[in-house]
Order: sequence, then structure tokens, then C-alpha cells
Amino acid sequence: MKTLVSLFFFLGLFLLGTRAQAYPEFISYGYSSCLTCHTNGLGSGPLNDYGRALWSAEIASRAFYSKSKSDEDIANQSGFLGSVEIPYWIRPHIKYRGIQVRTSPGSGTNDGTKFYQMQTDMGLTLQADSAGKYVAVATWGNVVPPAEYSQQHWGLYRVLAKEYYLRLQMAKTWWLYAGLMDKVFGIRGVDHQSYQRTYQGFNVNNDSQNGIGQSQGLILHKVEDTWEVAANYFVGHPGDSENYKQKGFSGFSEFEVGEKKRLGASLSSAKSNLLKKDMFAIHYRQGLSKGSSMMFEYGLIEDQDQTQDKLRGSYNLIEGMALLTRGYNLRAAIERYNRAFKPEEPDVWRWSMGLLMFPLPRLEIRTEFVNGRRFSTQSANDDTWSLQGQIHVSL
Amino acid sequence: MFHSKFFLFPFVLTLIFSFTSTSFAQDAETPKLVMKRHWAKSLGFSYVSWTEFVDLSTATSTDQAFANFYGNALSYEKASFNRGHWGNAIEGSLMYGQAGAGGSQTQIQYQSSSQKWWGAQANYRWAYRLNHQVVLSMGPMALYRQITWSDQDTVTVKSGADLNLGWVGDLRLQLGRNWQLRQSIGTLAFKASTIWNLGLNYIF
Repeated sequence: MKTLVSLFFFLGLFLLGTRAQAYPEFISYGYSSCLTCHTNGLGSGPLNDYGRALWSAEIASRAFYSKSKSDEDIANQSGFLGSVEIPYWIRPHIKYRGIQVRTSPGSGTNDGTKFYQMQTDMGLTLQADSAGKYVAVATWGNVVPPAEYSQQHWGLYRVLAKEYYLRLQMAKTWWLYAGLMDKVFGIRGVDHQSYQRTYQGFNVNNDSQNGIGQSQGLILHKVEDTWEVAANYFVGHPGDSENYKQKGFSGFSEFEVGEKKRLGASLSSAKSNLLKKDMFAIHYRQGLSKGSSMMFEYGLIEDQDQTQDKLRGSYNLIEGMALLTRGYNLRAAIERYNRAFKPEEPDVWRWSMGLLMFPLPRLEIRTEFVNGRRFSTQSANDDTWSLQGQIHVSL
Repeated sequence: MFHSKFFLFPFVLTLIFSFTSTSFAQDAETPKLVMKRHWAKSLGFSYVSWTEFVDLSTATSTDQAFANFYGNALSYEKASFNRGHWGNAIEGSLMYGQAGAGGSQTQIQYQSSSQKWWGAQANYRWAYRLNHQVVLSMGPMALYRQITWSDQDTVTVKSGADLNLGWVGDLRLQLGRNWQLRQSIGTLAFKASTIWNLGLNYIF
């Protein structure tokens, strides 16, 4: 761990630098910081007014609008109640995600298709002043614990606090967050099944040794035009079992190394009664032409629980996204995960390619195929395949 | 992690590229100079992987298993474009790596790992240039590979085909003046499945 800390600070000296935004791929539009579009300056959670307008007027297709309607008109309809203006101090939000997964498509079996309710969130953002210096956010959601997936228990059955925090803008470029939030670490990408978030423990919504992904704590965030840095102290999710609550700290930095190019590093060290988890990652994002981008992240994960020796493994993500036409993107991502640097530990790969579409403001549709492969000295395996369709509605 | 040496190099290159990318300061016009050319020659280094289906046989029984191939490819490519979006690319690669075979056989137990292989690949692709920094392409490919599986206890092992044919799709992202990120995925026709390719190309 000492080595990781040293490495982080060594890099930090040179890289002082952001975090991925909503979505991190949108660096290709020239938006480098999450703070541009999100209330949480480190990404995820409700969009601010600018983010809503941006989605409507620049990201989403305008194929369903008449030519006479300007992008500005479309942006003006992006509020929670459309063009009906509501007081600045209150912003409700509702978010839904569902995914249909067909495993082994083309195999002729009919039982390989399942629909999962991924996310049903609702909440409020309250603002004490028009400048947004004092903001409170709360989001609750129904979730299906991932463990239920394999047991085929469909539907929503558990209400979980996803976030509740106060945000204080302390100075022009300083923000302080206090409450329940996502932990600060790495790129927050669009793929909720990604190895890059799963094995870090950030996709967890039920009792597991990784603890629930969100945690109570404090975040100090500094955002400059060309770099940003954040530090997070966390103590676990109050809804988690006491043994699983991960307590510790994490940090994130990102630095602009060229136009639409950001290089960053993250560090996390956490401990519960059952698991000590340390992580370090470096990442790189680059905007290419408008709407097209690439992202890369390499990370080390070290887990030590009570039953086995320390396991130090690694993961990679490399993603390319190409804008086909406004609102429609081709996305290809390759991921690898290895639990431990041991010859007998398999390398698990996941290659996904598909379309990321925003046919209308507030609506996102994804279709992709996912090819999985596993390399091991102990056995050889056939590839796994799945075809996935995802819908995301954000009001 | 046992095959990381085949995988790591492209990413090391990516990192080197990341750290040195300020040297050309990413002025918006730079990539256009490359992509506006009517042709571009490049050298590529990539991670390659595919799976083959394995036939196992003894004097009295037969069974099936899988073989996972992985390794590196060194490639030479020539791409040409007309004044519009359309073009084509032809590529040849030399490859080397390791493979493992086995699976959940019921009749014949066989497991082998770290078997060395070498091979070559060629493909021709029709290309569509979305813009100056993104190119999509697809076309037929041929893959030749040479491997000798170790026989165990009179088990005869045969995987895939020495010469395989298929189709490949390719996404190319222009990262800077001379560097391209490549992600390719293809299908193989004879007793094999998907082939992947991930790497960097240097345009000269």
C-alpha cells in the first residue's frame, strides 16, 4: 500500500489534475468536467439545468423536431416540466433504467432472455441561492440486488438511499460535499456492468464484502479549467451490514495534457471488518472529432479478507466511441480483469460493441453484443455471448 | 495474468503516447493532414485472440473441447481513400503467441496450456471515413496459424483449421498526428469463433 500511496502522490505532483463527467465520453464535445452538467461535480446523479439543456440541444437527435424549431427552443423545453418554469430552488428528478439481456443469441433456446429493472430513482435538488452556492440533493431508488439476478427474482423490491448530500461552494473553484455519495475513484463510465466498476465494488447495491457502492462521507473538490482534484473520506452506507461497511479514503485527479485530452490518477484505501481493499488507477480520455472519443483506464486492486492471502490483481478498460450522426453513437469497449498476479488465475475478457443512442431528449437507448472470453492455464472455454438492449429515461 | 506479456505492450504504448501527447499539442488541424491523404501506410502492433473448437480422439472414443489463442500481431497496412468518404485498406500481419486447450469433456480428459503458435493474417477491407478521425471498415480475412498440440496418453488433438477464412470489422480512431487506436472483431468460418484485435498503428 505504501508503494501505491507513493506512486499516487508522485503522479499527483505532475498530474494534479479531473474526474470523468456525464458521460466521460463527452469530452469530445469540449466538456471536460462533470461539474458542467451535474450537481455532483464528480459525475452521476441529477443533471443541473445546463446539463439538461445540453443533452437536449447538443447530444440528443433532433429528428423528431421540425426544422423551424431551434436548438435553443429545444433546450428551453428540457426542464422537469418541459417549458414550464419552476422556481429555481427546487429541481425534481426521476430516472429509470431497464435492460433486456439475451444470452447465447442464435442458439435457439428461448429461456435465455431476461429483463432486469436496473434503476428506478427519484429525488430532489434544493438550492438555497440562485448562484447555487448552497445545494442539497437527495435520491432514493428501488434496486434489485445483483445476487438476485442469478436467482431470477425479477422486479423491484428494495428501496435504498442512493445519495443525500449538501454541497457548499466554498470559493470560486472549491466545493465541499457532505453526506451519502458515490465514492471518488476512476472514470464513471456509461456501462453499469463494466468490470471497471464491478470489481472496484462500485456497482454493489447489496450486502457484500465490497460494501454498498455509495458511502457517507466528505468530499473536497477543486476544479480549475485545466485540472481538478478531489479527496474523499468515507465511512460506509448506513443501510449496509456493519461488517461490510467500507471505511477509508480515496482521491482522484485529472490534468489536461492537450486540447480535449485528460490524464488522471485515482487512489483508494478502505477497510471493513471483513475486507481490506486498496486500489490505484490511471486513466486517459481524449476527445477526437465532435462526439467521438477514446478512454483508457488501468487499475490495480488489492483485496485481503479473513479467509485467504492478499490478492493483488489488475483491470483494463479501453473504449472507443464514434458519432455516426447526432444522437447516435457507435461504442466499442474492451475490458480485462485478473483477480491476482498468479499464473493459475484466469484473465477474464469482455468485448462489447453496439449503439449508444439518444433519439430524444431525456431518452437513451443502448443495444450491444457482449463477447466474453476467459484465459486460464487450468482450462479452456468456449466464448460467451449476450445481446443487450437498455432503455434509460431521465426526467 | 499468465498471458499478460502479449497484452501489455499495446497499453504501454498507449501510456507512452498519453504522456508524450503534449509534444504535438493536439492542434485541431494536425490529424486532418493525415486523414485527408489519399493513402496512408502504417505499421501496427496489437493484441490478438480467438477461440477454436477442438476434436479429441482416442482409439475408442471421441470428444470435443476448446482452444483459446492469444498473442501479438505485427502488421503492415496500406489504406487509400478517394475524395469522399469511401476507401479501402489492405493489411498483412505476422503473429505469434500461446494457446491453451481443454474444457469440460466427458469422454476424454485433455488439458494443455502455453502451447506456442505462430501465424499470419491478411485482410482487405472496404472503409468508410466518418470524419477525419474516425474510420469504419470491414471485409474478408484469411488466417493461417501453425500449432502442434501435445498428445497425452494416446489422445489425438486437432483444433480449428490451419488456414481459416472469415470477415473482420474494424474501428479506427486517429489519436494524433501519427497514431491510430484500432479495435477489430471478426468471425472465423472453420471450427473457430470470434477473433479480436486491439492495438496501435503508427502512420508513416
